[in-house]
Amino acid sequence: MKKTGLIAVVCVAALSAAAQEKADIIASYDVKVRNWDADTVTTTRMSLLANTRQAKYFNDLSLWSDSLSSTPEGKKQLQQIIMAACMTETPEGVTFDMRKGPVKNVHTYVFTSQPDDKLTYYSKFGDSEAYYEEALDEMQWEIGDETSTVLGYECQSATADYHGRKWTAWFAPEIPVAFGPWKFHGLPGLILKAEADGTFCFEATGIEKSDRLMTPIYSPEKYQKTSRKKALADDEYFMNNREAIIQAKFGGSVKFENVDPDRPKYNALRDSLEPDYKDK
Amino acid sequence: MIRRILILFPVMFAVAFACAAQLVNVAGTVVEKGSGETLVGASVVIRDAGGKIKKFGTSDADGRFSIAAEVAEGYTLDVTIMSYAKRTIALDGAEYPLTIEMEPSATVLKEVAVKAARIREQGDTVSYNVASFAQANDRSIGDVLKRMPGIDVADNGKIKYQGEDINKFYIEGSDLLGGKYGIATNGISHDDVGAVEVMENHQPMQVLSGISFSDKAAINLKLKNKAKATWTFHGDAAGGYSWRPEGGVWDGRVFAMAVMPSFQNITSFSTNNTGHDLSASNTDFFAERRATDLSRYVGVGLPGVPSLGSDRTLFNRSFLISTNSLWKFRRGELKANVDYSYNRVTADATDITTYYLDEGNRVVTEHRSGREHTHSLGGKFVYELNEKSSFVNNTLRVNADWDDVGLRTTGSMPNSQSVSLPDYYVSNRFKLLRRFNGRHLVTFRSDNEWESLPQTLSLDMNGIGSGQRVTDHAFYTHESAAYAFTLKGVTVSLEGGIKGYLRTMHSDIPDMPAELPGLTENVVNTDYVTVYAVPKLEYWAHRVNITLNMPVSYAHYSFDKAIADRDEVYFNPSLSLNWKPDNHLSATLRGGAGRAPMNLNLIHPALIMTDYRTLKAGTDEFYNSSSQNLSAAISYKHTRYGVFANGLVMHSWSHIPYTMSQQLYGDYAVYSYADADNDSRSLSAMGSVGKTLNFMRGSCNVNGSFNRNESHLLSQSEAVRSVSTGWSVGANVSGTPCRWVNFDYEIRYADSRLSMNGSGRSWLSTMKNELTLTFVPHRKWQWTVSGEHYRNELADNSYKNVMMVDTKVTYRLSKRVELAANLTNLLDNRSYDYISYSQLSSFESQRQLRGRQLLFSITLRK
Repeated sequence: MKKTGLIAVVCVAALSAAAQEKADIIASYDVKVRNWDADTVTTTRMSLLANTRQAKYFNDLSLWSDSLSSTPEGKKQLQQIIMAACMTETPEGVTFDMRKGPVKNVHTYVFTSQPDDKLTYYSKFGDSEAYYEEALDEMQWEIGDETSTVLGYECQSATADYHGRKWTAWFAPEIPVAFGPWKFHGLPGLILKAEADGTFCFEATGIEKSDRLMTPIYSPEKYQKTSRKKALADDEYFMNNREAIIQAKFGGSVKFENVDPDRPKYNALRDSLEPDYKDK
Repeated sequence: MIRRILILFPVMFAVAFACAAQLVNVAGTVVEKGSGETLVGASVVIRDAGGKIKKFGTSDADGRFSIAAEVAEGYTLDVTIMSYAKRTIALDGAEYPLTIEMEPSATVLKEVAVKAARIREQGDTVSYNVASFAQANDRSIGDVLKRMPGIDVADNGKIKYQGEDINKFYIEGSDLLGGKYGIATNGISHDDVGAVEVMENHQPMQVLSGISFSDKAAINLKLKNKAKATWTFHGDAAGGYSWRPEGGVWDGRVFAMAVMPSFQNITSFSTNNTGHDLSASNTDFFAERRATDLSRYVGVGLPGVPSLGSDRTLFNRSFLISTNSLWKFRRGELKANVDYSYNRVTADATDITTYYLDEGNRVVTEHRSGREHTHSLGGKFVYELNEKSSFVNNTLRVNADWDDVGLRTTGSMPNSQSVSLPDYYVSNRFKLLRRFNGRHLVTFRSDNEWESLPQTLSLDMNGIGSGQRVTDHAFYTHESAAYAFTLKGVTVSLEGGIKGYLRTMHSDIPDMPAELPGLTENVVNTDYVTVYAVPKLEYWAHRVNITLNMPVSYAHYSFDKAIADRDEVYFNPSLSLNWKPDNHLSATLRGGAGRAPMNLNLIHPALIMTDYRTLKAGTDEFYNSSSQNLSAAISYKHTRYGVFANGLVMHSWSHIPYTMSQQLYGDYAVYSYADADNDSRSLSAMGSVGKTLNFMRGSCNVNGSFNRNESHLLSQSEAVRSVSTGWSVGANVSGTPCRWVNFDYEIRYADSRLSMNGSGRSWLSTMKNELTLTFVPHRKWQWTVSGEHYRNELADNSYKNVMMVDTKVTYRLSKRVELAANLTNLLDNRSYDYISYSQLSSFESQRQLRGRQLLFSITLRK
């Protein structure tokens, strides 16, 4: 126990020693993805902090929640906030609805660093948190001829075959930052929009100058190193066998109501941003 | 000839190769111009003659890039990087490797608000997103500030954060306006401001950071990029008709602002006769009290209307021009603020004053009609150097005011008064602080001030002329040095200095009414020399700050034979304790006690006429007073929930060995001072809670206050114990519940009572309700309707109700042009009556209001 504490301290010290760079810009993006288990589209709001060398892609609420959870004092505070928001006292008793409170539900962070020539992807795959690294040259763009206007910026098109999908991106040469939402990078201008196959779309909703610090991931010790393809395969397995896994974890004490035996299965080709993990 | 051939050769080569594209390695290094530092992450783009991107890359950790590309004629290389100006290089005939020098320059972003939380907190700074608090009918940033929880803007424009006055107002980090920040809050369009930052515990002098604690907050306006590095202009011009005062009305304003890295300027010009008081834009909220300490004896003012806004009651012609510039040098900065204002105000009133006396009440009725002209010219020139190891500030201030008042009174004592009250003031304040080895601090100060305040009252009563003449000059000088050192959170400092003061006052009443007793001429000198020392101990741990101040001084007063010279020693210790357990809560306890010399303006044995029926005799002795005070303040904030709350309780005791008494001679009231123990106690408490209402982009606030003053007075040789008690509560809520409507609602209720010798008069209340609704049926159209209702208790259960309705239609022709029609006081209410009590009398008044008014306006923006 003592040892883990010591390791955590060393990790935190090492991280704070690493240069915390200031961003030049902050952009907000709406990410629209068709849900795999229902015929609906979910919109998630994400943010990107970037300067000329590196970028950090995250969700505001998750960042806030993780920053609080990184200290024991903050963790307690977060629990109180969530309790206060989610708990309702009724004459029949206390009900608890997690949807009401500021509960983190986006786990993705992407740190892209040009000097290190790699990006680091943090998320929750299945039911465990993990990270993997990826070389920046895996994404290669072809500049197209079309132009389009996003947020008042004239953008040029570019296409890339990336991990099993053909992406079309729109970048603004006026903003000399070679990054974009998610893992997108490597174009001579900020990527304001990217879409693939009509089911995946990232689009900028705002851009401002910013000098916010690009703080590293909070609580790095809870993420395990993995490889991209393994992580995606784990994720698929979890989504298709959620109930069974949870029951196994809690020894069969959890009961699921309204589980439709014919509910759709997660289909990587249709539902995954990177279906190439299915390639043999 | 040979030379010509040599020149021709490369040209021929170029021509030969231009036709066919050629595979080359476009390589080079990107560096900063001047320093030669390599730049990482620059975007390098090769474009063809038509501007199409052919190839691209970025500069690596050494600033180098290398792109293999087919290059043909007309190809260019674009190099861009944030915060540097873009470079475009023709590749025709270029030699590799290239060295590309980039010049630093702000990259202009077309900003589109990032969808983010409305209030964000980072350390000691709270940031409010302006767009999320703004409503369609808002114009200036001041309109939006009012709606931000935790921030309070008084009617005169003064800003408080969590109940405390702010100590600095910055625009993009620069203190351009000093205390006259009303120019900015009333002038800067909210649309040009991206965020309002509140910096808590702001210590404006960098040299003091870590040495001295500040419990004040500062405000910084973060401008949007479109308003930076350029001049922005906007102007309004309006004309129309008013039913009372009958005739044409105008309202115009031009505002220009430049915020550049090394230069800032705000220039504004405003004029109107619509009752809009411009003094809010020209008040120095940080002005320290003038140490020359002169005050006017003659006090003929125009009748005013309390508890109603000036735009309802002011019959004015106003004019204000102000220009403010700031130049930043490599180390210091220079500021010049110059302004001139002119005001002409007319007023009419009928007053009934009742004096409560033991033998029965005495009633004086009068009708007054007057006109006041005020000219004010001010200049402030500041040089400041604000660094971690040294701070220098020299402030030169010059003010000249000319006030003239003419007032005609009919009634029991018909008369006409005319007053001339010019004021001339010059001061220079110099301050130097240096910090050595991070722990030792030395301060030098030198302040010099001069003021002249001549006053003339000419009185015509039934054809008999009389009056009052006063000349009053003072010079004040103050030199001091201080040393402080800090060790492990403890700062010990000692300040020592000398103050000198020379003042001469001369007054004369040439023709005093025969029924009045007393002397008519004063020749008074009140001079002093003070030597003082202020030991100060400050303990500053992580969450607690304790400050102990123990100023001790020795003063020698000389009064030029009128009174015997005096030597006095004063000691005024004070202790303050601040506790900030976390980012949310802050609590402060303060206490102090001490002795102080009396107000030297009160020393004058002979009578001075302050208006046609009031005369005052001062003391012919020198007194000291003593006082104690205790206060506790608490503030709480939770930015993520948008909750801000604060409370304050204050109790003070004072003992003055003299008391003012009032004697009536016919219709004249004569005030004088007599030896007496005058003890008073006062208790006041106030609190406020604010909260954002995110579901409708709004906010709300509830506040209350209570005060009680108890004092002893001598009236007609009888002792009077008077107690005044008052309390008030108020609430406001504003929001935009849906796209096409927003609202602002405010209610305020106040109750007060005065009791004397145990017999109390009844409680008298005032209540005000105010509702503004703005409809935006179309993005080009806007319709605002607002109502104010006043319910004032004149006597026990007798109320005066006044209702005011205004409406305005705005049409936005384009982004730059806006047209509006404004109808105020739709119901054409023309009078307002009220009653108020002072310590020994009651005062009932009938006042005039501005009548219905129609105004057409055009607003232009750049």
